[in-house]
Amino acid sequence: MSEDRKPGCSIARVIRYVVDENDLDPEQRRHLRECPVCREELKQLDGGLRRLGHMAAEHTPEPVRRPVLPVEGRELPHRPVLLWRLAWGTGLGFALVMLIAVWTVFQSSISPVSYQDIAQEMAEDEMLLAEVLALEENPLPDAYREISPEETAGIDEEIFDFIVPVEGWNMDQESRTKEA
Amino acid sequence: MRMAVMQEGTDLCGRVDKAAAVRRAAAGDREAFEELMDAYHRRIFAMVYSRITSRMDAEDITQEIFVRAFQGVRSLRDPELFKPWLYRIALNAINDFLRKKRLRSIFTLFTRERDDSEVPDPIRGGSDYLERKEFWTRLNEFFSRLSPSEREVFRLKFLDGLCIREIAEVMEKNESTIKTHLYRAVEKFRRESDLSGFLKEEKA
Ligand SMILES: [Zn+2]
Repeated sequence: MSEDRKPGCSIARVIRYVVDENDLDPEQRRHLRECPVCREELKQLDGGLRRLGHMAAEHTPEPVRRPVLPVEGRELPHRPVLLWRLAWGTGLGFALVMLIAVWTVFQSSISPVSYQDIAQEMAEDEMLLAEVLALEENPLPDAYREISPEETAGIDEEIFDFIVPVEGWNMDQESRTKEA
Repeated sequence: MRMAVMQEGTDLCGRVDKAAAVRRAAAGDREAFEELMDAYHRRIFAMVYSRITSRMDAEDITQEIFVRAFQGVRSLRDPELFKPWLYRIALNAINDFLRKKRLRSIFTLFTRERDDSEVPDPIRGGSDYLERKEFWTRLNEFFSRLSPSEREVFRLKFLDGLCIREIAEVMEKNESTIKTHLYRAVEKFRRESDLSGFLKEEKA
């Protein structure tokens, strides 16, 4: 399209003519008729739009089905695909509602977590750890503790020596006598 | 037989088309409405197809448009307004369909939407189908650069062949607003050198 216009030429006028030719006054129309530049612009633009209309028509298939009007008291024939789509849509909607419900329940079961809860959990963990360590130190139940070696550590060694004499007792006795 | 949507529409602009049939249909005459349906069926189908580019969906929507029109024609007072009234019903039905389609696409993110526009037309053959697909793809690329109002006004004028007054009736806006949208759309069309070249190529 030509951009090389004369002083009196205007592309806006050409477009206005294309939009609605009645919008131009007789003087403006005369210019469009007589000016070769504007005439060429108009020919190009108008031609392009007409071609577009023709091509749109050419690239449109023919309808196959003639519309069926409803008869009073009788339902219109439905296409099975429409019913299928409706069922599909309903199913999806139901699934979405279920998903939201499950998500809400899940969210409420894990939240909200406050700092207080975390601190309490940490304290409980510490207590548990202390118990584990204590068991590591002495895994016997209370009933057995009284006869376990650790618990009787404070009993005089002489009693032990009396009950269960150690090997080389004499040598040991000797050294004690020497020290005395 | 190829359609000539634009010429049919342009010729009718400003004239009372099938006024007698509209009057009879409004009075409850079923045959009169059938007559109107035969007169407008292809035009309405073409209008729907140009916005949906799916033959099967266009058939369904066209069916729905005529049922809605048939059920509402008794309330039509001015027979002269039948054509823009019918196109308004059509535009609403198309918008309803597109809204539902958008909603469906939310639910079917990972499944393919039915798209029969991808199925070659068995009657007209594969080459016609490819040509058609290419044409509408190019045209929709251009439309995507227009605002919704500019796009709709442009289609109604140059694809559906309605005049300014009819477009104003269809879109329920005043004529000067329609002209403003149309002016902007035509200006953009003129600047689209790609589209102009494509149109020339197609003609050659
Ligand atoms: Zn000029």
